[in-house]
Amino acid sequence: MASDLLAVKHLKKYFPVQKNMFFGKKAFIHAVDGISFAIGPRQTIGLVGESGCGKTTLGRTLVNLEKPTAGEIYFKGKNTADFKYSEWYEYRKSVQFIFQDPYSSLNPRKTVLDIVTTSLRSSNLLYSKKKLAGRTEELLKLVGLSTQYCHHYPHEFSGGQRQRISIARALALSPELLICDEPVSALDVSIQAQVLNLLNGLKNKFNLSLIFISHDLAVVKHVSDMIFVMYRGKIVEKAPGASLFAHTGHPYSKALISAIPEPKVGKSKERIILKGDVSTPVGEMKGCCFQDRCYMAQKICKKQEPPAKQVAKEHTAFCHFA
Amino acid sequence: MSVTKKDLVKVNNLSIGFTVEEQYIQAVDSVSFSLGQGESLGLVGESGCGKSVTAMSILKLLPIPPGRIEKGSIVFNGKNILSLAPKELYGIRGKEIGVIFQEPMTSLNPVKRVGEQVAEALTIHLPEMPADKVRSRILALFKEVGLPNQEDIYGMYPHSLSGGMRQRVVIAIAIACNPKLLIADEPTTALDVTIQAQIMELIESLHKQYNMALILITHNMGLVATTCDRVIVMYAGRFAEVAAVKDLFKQPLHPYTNGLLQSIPTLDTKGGKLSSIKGTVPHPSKFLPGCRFAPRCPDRFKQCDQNTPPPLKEHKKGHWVSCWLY
Repeated sequence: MASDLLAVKHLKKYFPVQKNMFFGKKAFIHAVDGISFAIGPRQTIGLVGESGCGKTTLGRTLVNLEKPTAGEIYFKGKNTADFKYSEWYEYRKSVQFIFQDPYSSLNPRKTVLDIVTTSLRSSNLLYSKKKLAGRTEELLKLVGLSTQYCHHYPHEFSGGQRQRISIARALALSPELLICDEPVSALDVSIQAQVLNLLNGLKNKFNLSLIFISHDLAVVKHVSDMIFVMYRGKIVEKAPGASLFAHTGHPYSKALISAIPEPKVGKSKERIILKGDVSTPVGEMKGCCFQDRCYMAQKICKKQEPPAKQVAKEHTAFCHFA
Repeated sequence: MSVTKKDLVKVNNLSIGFTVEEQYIQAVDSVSFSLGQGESLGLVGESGCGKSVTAMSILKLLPIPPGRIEKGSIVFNGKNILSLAPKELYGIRGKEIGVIFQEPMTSLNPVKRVGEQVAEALTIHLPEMPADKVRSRILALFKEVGLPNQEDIYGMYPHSLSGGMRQRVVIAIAIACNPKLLIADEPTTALDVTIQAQIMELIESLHKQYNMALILITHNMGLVATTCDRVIVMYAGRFAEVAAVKDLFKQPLHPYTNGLLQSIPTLDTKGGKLSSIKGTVPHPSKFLPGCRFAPRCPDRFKQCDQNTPPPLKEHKKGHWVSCWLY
């Protein structure tokens, strides 16, 4: 659709692994395996899943940090594969990324001013030192940091403050889409709430679209309009936030929801304990991607890939029994 | 504090400090608590609040120096831990107290087969056990902690196991000698939610089955709510609140506990603004006089900035709080 800011069609990203050192066929890890979705302006999409389900790879592929193996990414209706140099330039300006670990994503030898303005300087938007300093102060104010920190180095800040610097850096070019890869998972609870509130405020202020990647369903539910649940490189359920919890369709989502320990006493909910671990998605898998851990698995799950089933309005689950 | 059951652990007025870069930092400030046999206690707080230091001091597993136990006493099962000779401590560590560490990748030896690592615990503490018995005991342990194909896993190295399975091996080591106390230091922080649920279920069932006392160190309020009988909330090296789990979640007294509980997004909250605690945890070298939570506290008044908060006071039966408000 033309109104979509970013649309992804059958996106795949495979990483090669050598099964045997000399002989043996080359195998591939299917990190992202045929994902399609679209995000409109001012929309927030939450991507949830366990480690190794491909959510980070998906995010990185979207900002072209990884080249997709197959599939297309459309930005404002135009395929990124046909982008000219100047169009890439525009794309990078409008799609920004916030990394997971605020300790390793900031260059320890650069000051806050350098870190925040790198993108401004390299895109030749601002030249003069005075203007750069002015813009940095503006950005620091936006993310709730004191402007006196301009010439400090990252090690002088706490985790929450560093994540604020990362957010300021991402906002420097006034993007339209922010991809946040686990922005709060390295932070303490009281700081996590601050950063979530900050992101929410900025989103409303600048009409941003957000793709919010996290393993914490409660956090994702709090920020997102739509939630995608991922498993082994595939989206197994797409639903609006409230609907996912009210009419959970996929057994994996059910297990995920029941596994969250809630800070409440007395209300004992039925816990579904899944067997085994997430296996590395090497090679093609016949049938449903969740079959080996599923407590509802039948013969059909091993043979046929589950179809998309409508559970509620705008709510689809990829399961034979949804 | 009064505990009706026989006290297994009794910590009294304990203060611990560290010398870091020629600066003395007080990590734990005059804390007292006790733990009965078969009881489960949660120790909650944010990173750097001293919860691990407090729990590890029961095993005397602190690097001394730079660490220093300023004052206080720790009594475990009638023995004063702090005055024990190293040899006597060896008899307690791993035998009477088992520990599950946070990161299973770093707490297991990467160049030793996991079976041998479990065997170590048995051969050190029960040297008279014959070798074939040791092996069969380990296989039984593996089965108990839910590891499949026990014979195969016995000969594997930690790197070929997944995070959840590694943590199961660590648990097998911890319970190998049927300890009286199990200390779990953030046992699931490095794991995924579905695996976390598996591991917590295992720890809970072992705790009940063997009537072990359990100290669960975590920053996850949800885990405490589902697993523990009692909770201690720590902030900046001091106990803020001690209560039965039910009371704490129903009616948190300390402003910090209250703020912490409200800043967690749950499945019931609907979008909008989360209430958050402003500011950050102060660095231990920058503690101000008065209450350490005062700069972030919404209910602070004059008293809070000037005087250290009173020691834990029983507000309601079994619900203790250290705050000038009460």
